Amino acid sequence: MKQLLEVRSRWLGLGLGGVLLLLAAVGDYVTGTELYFSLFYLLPVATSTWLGGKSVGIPISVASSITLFAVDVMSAAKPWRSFIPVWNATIGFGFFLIVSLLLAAIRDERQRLEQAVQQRTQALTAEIRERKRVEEQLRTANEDLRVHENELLRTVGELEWSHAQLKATQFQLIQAEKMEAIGRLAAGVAHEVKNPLAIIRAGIDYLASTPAGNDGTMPSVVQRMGEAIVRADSVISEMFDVSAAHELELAIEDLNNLIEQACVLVKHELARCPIRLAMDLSPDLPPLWLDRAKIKQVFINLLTNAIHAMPDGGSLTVRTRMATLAKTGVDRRRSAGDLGRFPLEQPVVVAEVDDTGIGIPEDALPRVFDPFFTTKEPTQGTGLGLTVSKQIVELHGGIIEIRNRPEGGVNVLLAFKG
Amino acid sequence: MKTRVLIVDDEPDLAWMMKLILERTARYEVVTETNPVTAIDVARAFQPDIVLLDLVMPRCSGGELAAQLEAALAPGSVTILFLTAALPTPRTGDASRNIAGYQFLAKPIATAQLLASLATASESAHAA
Repeated sequence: MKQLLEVRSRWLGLGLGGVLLLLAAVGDYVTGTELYFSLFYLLPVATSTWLGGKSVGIPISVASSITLFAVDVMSAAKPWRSFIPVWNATIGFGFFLIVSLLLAAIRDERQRLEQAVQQRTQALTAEIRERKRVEEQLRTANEDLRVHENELLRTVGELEWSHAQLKATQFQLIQAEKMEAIGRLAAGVAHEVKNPLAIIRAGIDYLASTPAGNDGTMPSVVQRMGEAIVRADSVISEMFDVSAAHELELAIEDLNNLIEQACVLVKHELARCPIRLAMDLSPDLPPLWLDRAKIKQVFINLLTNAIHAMPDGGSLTVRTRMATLAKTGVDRRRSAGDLGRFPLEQPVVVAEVDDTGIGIPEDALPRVFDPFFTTKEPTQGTGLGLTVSKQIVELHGGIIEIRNRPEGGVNVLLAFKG
Repeated sequence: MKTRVLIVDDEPDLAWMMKLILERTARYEVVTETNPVTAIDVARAFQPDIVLLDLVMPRCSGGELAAQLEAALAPGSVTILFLTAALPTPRTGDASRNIAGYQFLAKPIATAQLLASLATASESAHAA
């Protein structure tokens, strides 16, 4: 663009010069006046200034004045020191200079303007280019966004699908686990009921072959048969507890109060051994939503276990307190899923039952909550107490854990959300 | 000569009742033990011909105890009969089963069947 302008202005200058030259020649011929002056001197000055600027125009002005002087001197055939040619040359030089400077000023101004326009044009071009670039970026970003949106939608779809799959698998697992649990339970019930049945069977066979009133062992046999029936019945009754533990009748309760009531119910057992009972119940516990009868049953189970573990006496400590769940949880063996029900750093209500008894063999610890698992004598328990207790505590959203105390005996810990 | 029978069962009432039944036949001399841990010492002292052994007991399973008994007593001198509540009672026929060379009797067992199984075991014990 700039080059085009320059070329055009050069031709314009030359063209104008040519036209003026022609006009001057014609005018000179027609009028007889000395138009040659403008023709031979002014025109080169003007043209050269227009084309080359001040730096060319001023030397040409000087050259033109010298030429004017020389021509004057030669054409007039006067002595070169004559005054007129010098005067003419001086006037001419002044005139040429003014024309040259004026034209140069106009030329410079024009160039300045041209430059300004050019700069502005460049700036505008750059701006337009930048805008186009931004627009392009925006377009690309939009495109990306659309692609990402599609990907996101697809991922959400896949997630939903795998969630459904997971749920289905989980359901199947639960079903399988239920079936396994039912199987284990059935085997346990069978075992626990078959033993008393064996006693009854043996007793009946024995009595059947005994002549009436002829044997002093008869009352004893009958008594043990009766006890076997009670035992078989209690197994079945505890089975009802297991199945009934699925529903809770919740009310606002004072945990300390329920524990005290449970302690009263085992008092006669305590006196028999003898066992010293220490109660350390925190007065700061908040009221909790609990099933009164079921929580009492849990503590009766725990206290009875503790008493059975101390046949030769000992001490039994029941404690309640507020605690905060540490990062590792109340029980390190417990999986993260279980702990998820307890928000970390939140207050929990903790109840503990400690005994100084025989403890639980370490290899038996993982199985203490299994149905019909027991380390007691057959007449002391069916192995369902802890199973039911765990079920009840977990239905309350709590956790229960059992460990051997380093100083001997067992510690049972229950935790409820505060 | 009476056959010596050791009954190891954690059910004291059942052990006592089986002892009554067996002793009334006047063919058996019976000792009962409800603690599987001390059963080995009792067996060493009593030198039984037959051991009636409960399979599922706390602290020690009947299977482990059988191996220990056989190691503790003179080889071939003892016959072990398992008595268990873990087996389903057969609905018909013989109440006993043979598993890995051992005879298993299902609880509750009819006295006639118990006596028959013991008689067979007793004969082979005396024959040996």
